[in-house]
Amino acid sequence: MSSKTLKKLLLSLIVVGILASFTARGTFAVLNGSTNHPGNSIASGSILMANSVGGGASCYSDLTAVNKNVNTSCTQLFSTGFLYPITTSTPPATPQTTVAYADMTIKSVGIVGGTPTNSTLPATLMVYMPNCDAAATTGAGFSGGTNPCCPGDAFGAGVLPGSVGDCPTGSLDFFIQEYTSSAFTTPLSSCAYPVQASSCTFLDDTLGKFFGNYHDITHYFSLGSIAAGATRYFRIGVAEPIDNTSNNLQGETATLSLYWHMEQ
Amino acid sequence: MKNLQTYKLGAISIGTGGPRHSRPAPSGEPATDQPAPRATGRAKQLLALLALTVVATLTAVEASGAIHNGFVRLATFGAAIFVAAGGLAAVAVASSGRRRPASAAPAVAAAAPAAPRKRFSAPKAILMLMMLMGVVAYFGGAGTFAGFTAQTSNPNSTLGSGSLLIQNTVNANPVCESKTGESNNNVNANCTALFSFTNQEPGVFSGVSTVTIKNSGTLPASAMYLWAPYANGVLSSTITSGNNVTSLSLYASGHGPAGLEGTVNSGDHILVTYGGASQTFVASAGAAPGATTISVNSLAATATYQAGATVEDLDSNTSAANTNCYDTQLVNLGFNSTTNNPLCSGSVLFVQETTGGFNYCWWGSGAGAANGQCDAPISSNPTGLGTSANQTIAAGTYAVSALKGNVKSGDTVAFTEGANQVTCPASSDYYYGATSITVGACTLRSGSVNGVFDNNAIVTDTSVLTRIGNDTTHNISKFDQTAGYANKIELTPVTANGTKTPNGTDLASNATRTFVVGVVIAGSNAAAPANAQNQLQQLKSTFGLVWHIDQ
Repeated sequence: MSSKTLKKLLLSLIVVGILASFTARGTFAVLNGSTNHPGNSIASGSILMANSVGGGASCYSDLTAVNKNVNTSCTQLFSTGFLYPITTSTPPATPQTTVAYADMTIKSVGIVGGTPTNSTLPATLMVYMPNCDAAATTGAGFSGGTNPCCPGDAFGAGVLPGSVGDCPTGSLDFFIQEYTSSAFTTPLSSCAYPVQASSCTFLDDTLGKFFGNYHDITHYFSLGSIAAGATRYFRIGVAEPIDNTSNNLQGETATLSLYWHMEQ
Repeated sequence: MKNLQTYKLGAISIGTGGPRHSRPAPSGEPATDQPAPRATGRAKQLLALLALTVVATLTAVEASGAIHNGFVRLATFGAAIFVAAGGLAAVAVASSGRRRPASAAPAVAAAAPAAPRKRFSAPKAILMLMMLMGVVAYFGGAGTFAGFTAQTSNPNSTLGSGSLLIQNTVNANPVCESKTGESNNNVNANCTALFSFTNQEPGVFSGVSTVTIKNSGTLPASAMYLWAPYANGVLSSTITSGNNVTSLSLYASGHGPAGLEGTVNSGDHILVTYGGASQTFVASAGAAPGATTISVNSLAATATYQAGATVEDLDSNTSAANTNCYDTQLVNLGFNSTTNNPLCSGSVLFVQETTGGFNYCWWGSGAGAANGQCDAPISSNPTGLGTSANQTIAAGTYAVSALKGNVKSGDTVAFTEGANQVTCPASSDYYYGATSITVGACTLRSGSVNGVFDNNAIVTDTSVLTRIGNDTTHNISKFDQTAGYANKIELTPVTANGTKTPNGTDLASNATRTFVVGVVIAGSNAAAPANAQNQLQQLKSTFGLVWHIDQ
């Protein structure tokens, strides 16, 4: 047998040896068992919101990637030019001309693909006043000089109370009354703000108290829970104080915003 | 040719019929058997005898049964024949090459004295003896050892393999067994989903499931693992060996994941496994979650893969975008994109063992905690306050419905009913299943009223929710990325709350271990408005979980 043939034979034996080695490993395969749970899932719900003023069109929370469920461009509550001191704390029936009213409808609903779609989660409804700007009424010829939002604060846009708490006395009157339906004829037996066991009445200094205490997202006034898809009705009332005989609120304009917020 | 006939295999020819060439040459016949040529003839004889000896020896060895390998036996026999033929051929060649005309060496022939006949030289005798030994070994070797013998036999010896089978049971659902898996390799990809929580919100208890794992095989499992599966599916159409494969079809339902569980990217390596066969294909295009087809580069199947084979993307679980967990949009709200699966990243998963009353947090916020607790939220109710809404919450012990999470000593326990809330510190650790909680001095939340609580109150642990809100490493997405097959979690035995053994049998035959598995959407602890998590609204996360035992 030539050395060449011998080499071939030995190489073939090596190959056989390697194959045998792999085969041998195969005979000692690890025993195992395995079970899988596919399809476990968790799904989130949604909180959407709409408001309308005076029975007008609904303004929905903005379902865009930019605004992320926030809409800052809804209809203004009221634009009343000539308030004067009320003579009774009892809110006048509508129609009336002595106070400012805004009838708000708050819905737990959004507009999805052009279709109103209810929220799926209950939420807490909140409201706060991020701004109340005092200015002298243009053309009034006289300005009382007291800030109608928060007495003691300067006039001008973007002026916020210096601290969280009641503003000094002397502001406008303010209330939030909940109603049972969109007819706004039957108020609940209690007042949402200022908190009263009876229906709302106009009370002194209440706008300053509200603005002083609830003027940002971390200091909001809670209106309680709102069920998924539910609707609630609120009347916002603002008036000149009943006892304002000092003219210190005369010839002034208060420009305010209310932010309605729903949170789980 | 006459020389050849003296070497026939018949034993009788040895020493009796061989040396014809040593006779004096007849008159007129060329004197071919002279001394010089005799030396060459002896070599020839020796070569032939050596060949015969080798043949006999190899044949004897082959016949003895000492060689068990069939191939080697055949090779031995062939080698014997080959050597025999070679030897005989060599003899023939040597013989023919030595023949010369008689006239070629007449002088030598004449001068050489007649050599004395030597019937058996020593080498010849040795070789003959060796050949004889071979023949004896072949025909009667067994009888050559002893006159007295004794023997015992052990027939019917058997060797049977054991089994490693795993069963898991989710809550009160039917048992899911690995052996019934469609992939024919003791893998069952179609066990009951752990949970299907809907309409969830961040920072709120969602729920849990209990899983019981049993080794129903006959062998102990030295290792038991938990891991996150790759993006995967179940083959719905059989692939036949030899056929070119350009796509993999997946079941849409009823066999495991609903279509593709996860995301496949173009170029990913897709492993198909059925029984003991497996093959890797390369995705030629991406495939979205839920897809029922994965396109692959054309490749001939090296085996047949029946429907039911497992299909896994070996390149998945490398980022939040290609995890096994995937998000789908339930309602398009405009701001709830599924890019990078945000709910998978925003939902914290926890797996806590409760076997034998010993707790260990294997995965989740608080994993490995000394007390064995995961940060698992609770949502319980008092059971001893009646229904009159007139109870005051203060320091003391309160009976509650069985906890579905844990309370850590010092955590803030909140009793909430309507708009009223009282918070109190927990006096001790309380585990999943506990039915009472002892609390210390309580605090009334601003604006709340005490003395109005009853069994309708909700008992929560706000500290747990805060800790979960701060956890960024134990969400489902991280589980997929850091606890996949390559980094699987070995579930070594737990001997006390928060204590696991470093080694040992993880799951003995017929032994069981129990686990609580839960998930919760983590709330945000940021200040408003940064705490808004609107991008998580109306999404659904879907994911898998694997339990595995090894011998």
